[in-house]
Amino acid sequence: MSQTSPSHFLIRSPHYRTLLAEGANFIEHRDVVLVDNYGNSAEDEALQAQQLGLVDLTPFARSGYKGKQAIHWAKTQGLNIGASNNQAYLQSNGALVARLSDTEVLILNNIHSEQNQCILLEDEYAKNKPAQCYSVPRNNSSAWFMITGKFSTEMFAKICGIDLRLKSFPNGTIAQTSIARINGIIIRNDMNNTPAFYLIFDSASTDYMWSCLKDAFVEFQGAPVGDSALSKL
Amino acid sequence: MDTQINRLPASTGLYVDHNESITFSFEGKNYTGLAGDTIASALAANNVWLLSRSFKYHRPRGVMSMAGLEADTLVQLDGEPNVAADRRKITPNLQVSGQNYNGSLEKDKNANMGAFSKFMPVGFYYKAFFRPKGIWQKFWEPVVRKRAGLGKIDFNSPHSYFDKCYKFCDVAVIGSGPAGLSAALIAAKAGTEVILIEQESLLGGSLNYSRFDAEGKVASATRNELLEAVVAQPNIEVLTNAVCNAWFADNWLPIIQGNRMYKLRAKEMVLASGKMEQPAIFHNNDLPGILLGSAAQRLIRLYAVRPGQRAVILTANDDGYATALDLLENGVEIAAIADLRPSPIATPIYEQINNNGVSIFAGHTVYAAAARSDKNHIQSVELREIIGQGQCKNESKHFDCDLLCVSIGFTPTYQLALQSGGKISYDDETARFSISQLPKSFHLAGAVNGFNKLSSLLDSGNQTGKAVCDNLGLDTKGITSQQTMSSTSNTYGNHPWPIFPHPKGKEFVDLDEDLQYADIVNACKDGYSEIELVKRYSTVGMGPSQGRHSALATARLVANETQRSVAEVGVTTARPPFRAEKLGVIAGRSFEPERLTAIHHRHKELGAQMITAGVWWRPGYYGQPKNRDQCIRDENLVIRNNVGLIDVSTLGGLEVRGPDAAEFLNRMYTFAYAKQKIGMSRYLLMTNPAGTIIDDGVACRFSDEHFYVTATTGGVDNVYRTMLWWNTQWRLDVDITNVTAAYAGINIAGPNSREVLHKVCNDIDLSPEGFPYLAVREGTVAHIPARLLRVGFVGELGYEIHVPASQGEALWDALLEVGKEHNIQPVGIEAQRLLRLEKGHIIVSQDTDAMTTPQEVRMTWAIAKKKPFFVGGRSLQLIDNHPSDRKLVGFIIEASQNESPKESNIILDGNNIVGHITSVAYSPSLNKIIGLAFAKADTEPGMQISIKLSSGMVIQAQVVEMPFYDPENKRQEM
Amino acid sequence: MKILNCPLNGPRNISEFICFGEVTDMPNPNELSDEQWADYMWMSNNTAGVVREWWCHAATSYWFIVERNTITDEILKTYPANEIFKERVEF
Repeated sequence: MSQTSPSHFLIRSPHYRTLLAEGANFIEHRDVVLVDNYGNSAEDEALQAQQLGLVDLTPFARSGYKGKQAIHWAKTQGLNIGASNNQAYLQSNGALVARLSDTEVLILNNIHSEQNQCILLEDEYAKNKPAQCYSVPRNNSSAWFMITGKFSTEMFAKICGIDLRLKSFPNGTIAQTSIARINGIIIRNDMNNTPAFYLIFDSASTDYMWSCLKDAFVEFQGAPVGDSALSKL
Repeated sequence: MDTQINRLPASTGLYVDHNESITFSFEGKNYTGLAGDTIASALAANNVWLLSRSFKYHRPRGVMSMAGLEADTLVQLDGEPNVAADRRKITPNLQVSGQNYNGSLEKDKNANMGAFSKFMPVGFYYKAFFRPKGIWQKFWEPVVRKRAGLGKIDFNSPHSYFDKCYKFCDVAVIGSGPAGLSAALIAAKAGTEVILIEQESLLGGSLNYSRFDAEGKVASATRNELLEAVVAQPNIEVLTNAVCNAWFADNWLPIIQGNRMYKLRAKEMVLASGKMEQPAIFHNNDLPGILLGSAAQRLIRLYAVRPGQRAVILTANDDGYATALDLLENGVEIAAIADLRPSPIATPIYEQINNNGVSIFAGHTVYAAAARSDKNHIQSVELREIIGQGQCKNESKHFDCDLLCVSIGFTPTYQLALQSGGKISYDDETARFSISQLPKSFHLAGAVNGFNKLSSLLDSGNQTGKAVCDNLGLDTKGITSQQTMSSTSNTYGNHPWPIFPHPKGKEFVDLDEDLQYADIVNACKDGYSEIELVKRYSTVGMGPSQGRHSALATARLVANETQRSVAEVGVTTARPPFRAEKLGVIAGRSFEPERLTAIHHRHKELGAQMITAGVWWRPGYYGQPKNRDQCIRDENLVIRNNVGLIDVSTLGGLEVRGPDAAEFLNRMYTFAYAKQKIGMSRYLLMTNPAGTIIDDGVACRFSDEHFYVTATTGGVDNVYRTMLWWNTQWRLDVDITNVTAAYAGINIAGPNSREVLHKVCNDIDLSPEGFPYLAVREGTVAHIPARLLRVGFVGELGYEIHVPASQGEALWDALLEVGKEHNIQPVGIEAQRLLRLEKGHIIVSQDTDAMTTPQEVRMTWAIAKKKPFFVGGRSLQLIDNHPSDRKLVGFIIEASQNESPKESNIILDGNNIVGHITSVAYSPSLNKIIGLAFAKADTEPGMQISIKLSSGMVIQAQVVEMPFYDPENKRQEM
Repeated sequence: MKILNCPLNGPRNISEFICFGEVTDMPNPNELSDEQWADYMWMSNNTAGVVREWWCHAATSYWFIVERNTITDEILKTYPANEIFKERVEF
């Protein structure tokens, strides 16, 4: 059986060697390469994810828009965006729109949705060239991890000074802050009944963040989990 | 064989398990203790009291507080120095030894140091060791270090995992005695989240060891009731063996538990830290066997250890009598009780002792203690009648004893309260400290606020719990609390002057530092009256116990000597940490961010020696360190003669977009951008408002309203933030986005670069006419969307290719692949720095400093004088009228020199320093050493400058025109 | 550690912020003598009392205004910079 390797693709996760060293098995999924599993069954990795799991979502699509009219334009594209900053809004197609400020949004595609919200927007943006609305190359400027499971808030308390306890930080809340001394965005986005947090941060710090998280994970027997586990949550 | 002759029966000893014995060793001898014993309690059970030798005079010392408050219990473990023997639990085969002795702990060869105390008056360090010059470092320091000091560090001790952790709560309660428990319960019942922090392994505080009634029953009953209630409250989180080591602004509390530090943020803070019992000051008050009354009680109730066979009590309050009752009940004979008060108050506890027929000497003190023949333990005390403040009659009564319990007063455990801004005051009536002026969210409960009786401790806790809830806006009306018997407040009994000087001295005020009564008095006589100065002169309070047992006595002595009140004198600042803390705890996990380019791992696979550039890692050169210089020369020549690849991803990248983009750049940078052509780049030089150069780069114009701006690797974050700051004020219609991490950049440079690039780039006209020098283009390279910049940093034909970071590695791979037939090579930043030096290009912050103006580096060509405004412009106008006396020049030296100049070597004009070398290297293309240096402003090409080498030798260098290489710039414009 | 209430991100540890000094009204540089400009550049007010300061939340590069008492270190008020800077500035 030939192994799918990130080095066969033009677009690669910055830390794919680290993922390989973790025992990652990659698969191709709609033109991107992602970790299917780390050598365990989807069920086992789902159990791991319920405790404490680390998922690399960097291959999946995300995009950003900023400027005075950015939110207005995104709304004209049919996105549902509420009035509160630092709040994420779920779209009918499963995409998540994070309102970072009055002048900036971040769109995170639903990782298992047929519809790529980000590409739809990028096409419209290229066509419309809206005034006072500027694209942000989030696919490349930011890495995207997800931390799942009941120990995730305790784990975060070792690297981040924000009160992320489930009752203080309800689903959909956003914190833009420092994580292990790296600026980043934390968005709570539970996977059904499993607490889950997106972590979006400087892509050049991907290996660094992975190692900080792995260190913080040890105490709770946390481990990386592949994409196949997510549908079992 | 059971050797624990002082072990009490299993009916007592909260901390110990009478069914589990543990063997450990002290000073090479094996002892048996119980699980739960501390080192000190297990040794006490074996009638071993001598734990250490004192700091200065090497006097025998033992436990005094059993609460980890003093330095005398510090012992040495395998690989761990300065462990508090009265706090650390024993473990099987633990090896413990004493500290600070010469020979053996029992027979210290330096024990005669005390005889020299007359020759070591207060401040003698300052008086004795400073002459002749240098004698301290050469002679005295090694001698003193050997004799004084504490444990030994083992540099081979294994690393442990230390970490830090954030934590949050509504109410933090420090201390779990009766007041802390009742405050926590009220707050929790009102619905708050409470964290209860207790430094011991069990909750209860004084309820665990103290005696509040004649029958000796109320403490344990109250304890059981409160602890049951705490367990029943799910919103109380209990942290035991945890020390709150400081208070910082807005209730930010470092809580140390084992190898972890919690950084706890509490909305409200309750300090229920209790009180610290204070020693009395008399001759030989430091002998092993002299315990605070509370220490005797802790030994009995917590550890099931009988503190002695025959005791004398020195007291001035009811606590001394309570201790006496505890001793009697546990088989200790009471030889006598000396009560400093002329007429003791006849409380029920007092009456019970009195009825037992114990000899009570009212108005008496222990005037002196005497040691047994081996000098290592108390053998007897001498009682005298008090006739005035610190004065006694000459007649004495002697009592043999192996235990002296001292209960003459307390200080509140005030450290955290004072750190929060609280002020200490002193009440002459009650002879005690009190604390006021605390922040609104900082509350005191219990003994730390002066309360003593159990009923008032509980009341105080309840009141505090309610005050906390009031602050949080919670209703406490319906909440029931522990019923108390009386609401009348009372305070603990402090004697105002338990200080009795002796003709032979050795009445210690500070045991850590071996400071005697006369030392403090003489410090005042030497002219020091402020408490902070007395501390620095005498070292009082500077030892490990940080004045916990000396602050009150020192304040009283200084007040007395300077005719002021104790409140006026006060105490020295109680800085963090509250207890000694390990450096590992402070360090925790070290978070040192490092950024990697998309091509980082390829560099390593190609054998690069990686070096740091700010937070980034970059390839220095490719090859073995032993071949470093050759590698850099080869890489230099690859670019000059062929084609090479340089990873320039760390270069900052900013998108400046919007109708005002050009106007914005006009204001931020010195040059003019309004008329810059689309598809062209232009140099950028940024100055700060003072006209100092702070960054440079290029602006690439891709449309009327879109510039792609580069910035230096180390400068981009600041440039970005500064741009946002200015536009917050200017409100121009422009957006600035930092896209540094979004782009990987590869500079393909060298005479063959066009040819190589052409193989993977078909949608851009690469001809010199179609894509001239300084032009910028968008297209694809190796199927990857790319921005191409024709720049001349290294002075050869070259293209910077900027692509999405996720495809940077693929681009690198593709260029290396198609460049194979030209023998393309990767080139590191060492060679790149040399290449730019050959071209005379400055690197901002290497060739400039915090004062460098464009004039000094001859870049006034980059200043557009007709603009109405740019940041730094007005200052540069001003500077034009005050020309600098230095400028940056290029110099050359023949390469045959024995010693090469280095960066930062100074430039001399006669004996005056006029500048320094900012960049210097051997240029293989020129076969000369070339460099940039600041020299006098009138230095011109053809002149010589004097360089002082690192060896001190001065050499001459020839100043030349720049650039050194290809002065007509033909090669980069090919 | 102090808490600073960011108008965008809410109360945060002060270590998340950068202080950029007092808010000053920059005079038109083209209308000042050298002496007046040097005075503006280098002479800090160093006010004892309530000052308006620039602060930046580092993670979001968000600039805002803080009113702080420099004697007590008490933070009285924080608000977005556009409450002061309302108009486009021309030179």
